[in-house]
Amino acid sequence: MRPFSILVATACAAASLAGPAAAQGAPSCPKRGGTLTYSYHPEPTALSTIATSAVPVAIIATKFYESLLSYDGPELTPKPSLALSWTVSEDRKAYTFKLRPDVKWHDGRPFTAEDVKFSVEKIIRPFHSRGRVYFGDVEAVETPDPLTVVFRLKDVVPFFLNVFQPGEAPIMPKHAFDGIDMSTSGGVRSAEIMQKPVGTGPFRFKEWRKGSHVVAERNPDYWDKGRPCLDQIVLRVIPDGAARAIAVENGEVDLAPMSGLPEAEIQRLEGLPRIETSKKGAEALGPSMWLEVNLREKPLQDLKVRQAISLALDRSRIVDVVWYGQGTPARGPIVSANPTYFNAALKPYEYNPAKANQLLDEAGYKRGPDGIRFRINHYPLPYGETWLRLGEYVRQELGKVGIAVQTQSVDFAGWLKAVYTDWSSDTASAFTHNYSDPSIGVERSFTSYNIQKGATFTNSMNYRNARVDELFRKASREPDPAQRKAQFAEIQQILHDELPVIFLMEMSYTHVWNRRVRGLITNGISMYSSWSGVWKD
Amino acid sequence: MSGRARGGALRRFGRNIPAVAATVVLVAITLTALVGPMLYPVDPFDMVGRPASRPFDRFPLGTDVSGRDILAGLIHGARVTLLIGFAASFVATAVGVTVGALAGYYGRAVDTVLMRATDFFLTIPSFVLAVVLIAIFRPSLISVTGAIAAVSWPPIARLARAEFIAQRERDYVQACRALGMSDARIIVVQILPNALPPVIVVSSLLVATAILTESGLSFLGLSDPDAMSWGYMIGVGRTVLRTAPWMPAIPGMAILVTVMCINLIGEGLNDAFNPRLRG
Repeated sequence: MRPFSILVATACAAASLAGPAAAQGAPSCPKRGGTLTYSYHPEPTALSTIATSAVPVAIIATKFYESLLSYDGPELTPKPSLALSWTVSEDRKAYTFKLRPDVKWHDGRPFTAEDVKFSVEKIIRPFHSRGRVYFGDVEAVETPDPLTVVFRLKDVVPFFLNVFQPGEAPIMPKHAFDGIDMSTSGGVRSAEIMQKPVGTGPFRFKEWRKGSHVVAERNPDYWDKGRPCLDQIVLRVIPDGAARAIAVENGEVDLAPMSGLPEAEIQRLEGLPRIETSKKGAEALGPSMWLEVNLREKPLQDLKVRQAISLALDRSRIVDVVWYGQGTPARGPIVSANPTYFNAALKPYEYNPAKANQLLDEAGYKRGPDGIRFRINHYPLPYGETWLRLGEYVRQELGKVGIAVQTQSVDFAGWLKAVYTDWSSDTASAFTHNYSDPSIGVERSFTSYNIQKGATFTNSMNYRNARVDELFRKASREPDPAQRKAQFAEIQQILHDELPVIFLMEMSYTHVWNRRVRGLITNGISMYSSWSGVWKD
Repeated sequence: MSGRARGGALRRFGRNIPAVAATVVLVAITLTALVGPMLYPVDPFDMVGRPASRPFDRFPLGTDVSGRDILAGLIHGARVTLLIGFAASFVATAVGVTVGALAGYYGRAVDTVLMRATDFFLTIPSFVLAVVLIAIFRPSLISVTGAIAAVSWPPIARLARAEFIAQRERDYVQACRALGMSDARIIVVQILPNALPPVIVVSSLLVATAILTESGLSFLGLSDPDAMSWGYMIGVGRTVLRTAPWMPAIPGMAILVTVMCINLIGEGLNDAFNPRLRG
């Protein structure tokens, strides 16, 4: 088993060494020039995934920032990016990356191993929402010379080569953080670079007019000569879903990624000859949608109450009516599309309002004279109309079992603050990505060591279960696939039963774009990739 | 104004056929808002059927994007829409008349301070100000009513002030002063009834403006998210404007008819109170 994996790693490295050389020699763009305009709502709150890894931020930030690796295909085969090659030690506890020479930051300064060490130790590990999961076991980052980085791990991290994605482990310039207090998240998240990115990616920051657009322009000094193919990428801010759809229809906007349009409009646009739609290119994301529940206080602290909420919501109705059939009722934290780790023994959640009423009675929350047992607030995710419809459905159904839901309308920044900083939401609709491995995408939401004020898409619920912590910790280091599978199966069963969040639906992304845009779908994280090879006919 | 003159106004209003017809329709709409939810007890937020089914199919007016009964929405929405319209207009009139009366009656420094404050509100586009106020106070029925009232009172204040200035030196006011009547009594009992007719006209038109403002706000998703209103229905239907045009059109017609009725009534009142202005 062991020698084999080392062989794979080195073979990969050898193969990929030949890859870019060939790509650089040949004309890599069928056509150069042009502007790709895309639209996604809401507008990003920052231009770095360190500030928040939310979808609108991750789409644009991955054009400015790169990581050590990039990935091919739906299964995310690693290939060189900022690292030219890599080797893995026999005990799988040391990863040595040889960096690409002559790479420059957008401000002209040279990129070195020091930037990698600084980014991992000072920025990603403490401040990225999944940073501790990725680099918590990194004992030391060594930089023997300016073009070599060695990661020494305390334990085996089975998914370590999956970590170096541009949105997940973005390498940032050390010199941009001179004079910034690196000890607090406030200091780092309010740094100027969060709004004005300086990266190594194929596109550099040109302009961000809040409420209108973000412009990224070609990086003329990009290391991959001949790339990027496009002159510009423009993010147009169009808050209204119908207006976004019209903009895509008439060619004003080239792309609406990741189900960025109301589902009804996607179905309408699908039939148009100039428009292409695809569900491909998001295989490594696995979006899972749920109601995030605040467990700090009664009555939501009460398991029976959460079970009642779960029973009161008809998941197939949510899929069919709110999402126009685009999704699958959720059974737990890991999406059923995950071929390796989904626990197929999980029972589908039942829809049974009568039982919900009974559970609430048993839990001691009797209906008052007005028919109301208790009141909670609900923060719908401010990502557009579909989420408001979900919020209305939740309010309606919970109202029937005597839970009065008060909807709070806030903008995206206000939503992030209420849910992840103030912890003042009782319930909020949210979705997170499983990513290519449950240790990457699932662990961060349910472990007690990831209850972090201010870090977005973490354990906002205050869910604490020592067994879950232990299992996640074990699984993230477990070299034996069968053991890992068993550990994740147990985790799923516990979370399925304890309902730290009300699991609702596995989403399914549809990207909608104009046919003149080519080369968009390259891997399982296509919208979070650099788009250096995307071109326009 | 004497009882006879008032009777004349009523008679003149009665001869204004469009105004009378509008009154009948508005009374019908108000009755629907009051008792309709009892006669048609379908929860407007309940998903009762397939989304976007056509009118007269299974439901009288079809269903919206979430499969909710549009007729139920229309009936329940009438409540919220009219409530906000009348409440906001009432509050705005009360505030406007108070400010205008004080400024007009006392003049000088009181007038200057109150009118500059009024000017301040008049310089900001009212819809934008309403949006800002609601953004600050979070959307709810009370904040929406308050915001609409807050942007609607200045014209009433100006009008009331002008009326009070015209009245305050009249002989009957002087006589009251000579009799030793208090200022408050003179303002409320003596001048106000004479200053009121034009204010009533403007304030009735204000109901229409308030309904339109509320519709605009809820169209933008800035109204109480837990209350069904016509503007909200348009906002929801807008996303499917081209596949299901009836969805925004039905509540749109309701707003059109209501606002038109109120405007016709306002016109009628104006003609009734100011017969000289008739062409």
